[in-house]
Amino acid sequence: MEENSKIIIETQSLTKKYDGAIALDNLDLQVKQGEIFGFLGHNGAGKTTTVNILTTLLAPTSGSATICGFDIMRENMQVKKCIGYLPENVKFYDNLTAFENLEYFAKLSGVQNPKEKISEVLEFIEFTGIENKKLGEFSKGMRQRIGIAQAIIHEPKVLFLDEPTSGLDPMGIKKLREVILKLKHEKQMTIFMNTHLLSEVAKVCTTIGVLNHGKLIYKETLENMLKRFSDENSLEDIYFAIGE
Amino acid sequence: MSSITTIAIQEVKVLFRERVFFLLLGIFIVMTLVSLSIGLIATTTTTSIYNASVEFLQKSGANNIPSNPLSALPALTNFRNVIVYIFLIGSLLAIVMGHRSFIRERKSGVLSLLLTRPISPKTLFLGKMFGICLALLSIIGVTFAVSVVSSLLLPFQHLVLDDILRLFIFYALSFFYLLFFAVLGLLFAIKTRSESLALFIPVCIWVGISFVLPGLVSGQTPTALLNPVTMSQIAPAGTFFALMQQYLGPISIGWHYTSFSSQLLGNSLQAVQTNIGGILWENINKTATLLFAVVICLGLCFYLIRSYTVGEGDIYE
Repeated sequence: MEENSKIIIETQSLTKKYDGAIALDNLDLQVKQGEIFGFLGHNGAGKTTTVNILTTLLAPTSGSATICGFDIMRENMQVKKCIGYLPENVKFYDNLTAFENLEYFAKLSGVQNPKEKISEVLEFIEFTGIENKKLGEFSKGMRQRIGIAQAIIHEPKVLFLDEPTSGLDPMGIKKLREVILKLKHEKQMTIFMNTHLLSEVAKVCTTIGVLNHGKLIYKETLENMLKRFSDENSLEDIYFAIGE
Repeated sequence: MSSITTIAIQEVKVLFRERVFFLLLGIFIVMTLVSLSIGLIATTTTTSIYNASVEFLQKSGANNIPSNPLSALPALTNFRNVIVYIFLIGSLLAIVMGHRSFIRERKSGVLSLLLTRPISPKTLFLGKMFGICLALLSIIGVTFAVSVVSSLLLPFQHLVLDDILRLFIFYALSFFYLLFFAVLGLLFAIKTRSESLALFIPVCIWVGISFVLPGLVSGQTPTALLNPVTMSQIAPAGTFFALMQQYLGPISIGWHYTSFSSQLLGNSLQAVQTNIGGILWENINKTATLLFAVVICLGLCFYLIRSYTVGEGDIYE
């Protein structure tokens, strides 16, 4: 129980400005170990900017953040070792096979036995028999699962997913959801998920954060949120009630 | 295996699966063989005309018959067209290769994944550069081998050790010339937010280096540059060209490459009479300028990769 209460992602007054426009406004956020954190918000709310900053891809204008206790600016190499990341719409190397793509990321992440690890990960996400197929032949859903595989191949403590279900068909969404839940239950991974699909949030997330124009306007566990907004008919109504 | 090696091998592996690489390799091999054929045909035709003239002159009773001007030139001269092919086509394809190396990863979103791995920008840069160098070296190496083997197989093309050494130095010089353009392609692929602009700017620079600068420096028209003429031309008299040669001459790397290469391949009697050491010494400034240009571009690439941030407005397919 104590382990679960450990803060693994923490931001303090995190701010990002693009040419004077504020994309992220003094974000104070804490995510506990083992949580599946659903980061909700409309398009352009600042969700991707937050993930880009937390994954060390983008420097904040001001404020600070730590992942696994490491500062994202000063100790970015340690941060990179403990995170996995799946951006929206990643396409990988189309001319290479699934195995070759995964092998590359495994080697760069310092995985000792890439071949064994790739088999293990593909088995974990129940996606075997595709190793020798070129990624150019893959559907969007299949690519997304390879994306998950590359993100977890080095067994990170925190997994960042940016709109993981975007553009997937219902079957693809279902399979991805199963993988996310499996990662939480079997690998005790902390998952930070950007999304605007409320139905997905209800099915997988344990905690919800709502971002509006760069500001965090609401953060609560899913359970408490449903209790608090019990009068609302749907999650969509809750989302708009929070926005108001 | 270090991360640099992993990135370099991946770069080569991806390039080997792309058409651009094989297009470049194919063009180089074909260019070499075509150049050799054209050179041989030209030499054979000229020699037969010379022989016919000698016969005619002898029958006419002439005593003072001049010697065949081509007999003084080495067999290597038959490769002279390769200079123009590398100078124009090779450099353009090298830009595409460098451009693809980074744009490919920006467009596919792979760059975001690479930058979230525990590798430094320096590692990423060195890995990419080693990969590009390996790919270029393999193209140059195969072309060099094709040149030597085809020469050895042809009955009228006798290469001596000195010729092979000259050919080797020529291809080594060509490697650095192509590397400059590949790095230029890479540089703008990192810097610009638009894919088309990332290709358009280096192509404009290529036009400047290949046509404008040599034209201004030598006083030759761009059309003249397309011909495998002897490059040690004297610029026409006049203040404008004299000034251009004085101020732009030292930075005209295209002009340096063609003039140095033509000396190496013995395009003139003077070049044939100078030994390799002499040619190298004579062209040390030109080589240094080319290497300096490569180093400057590499430095800029490294700086841009270090400060590169994935953000909104990035290229995605």
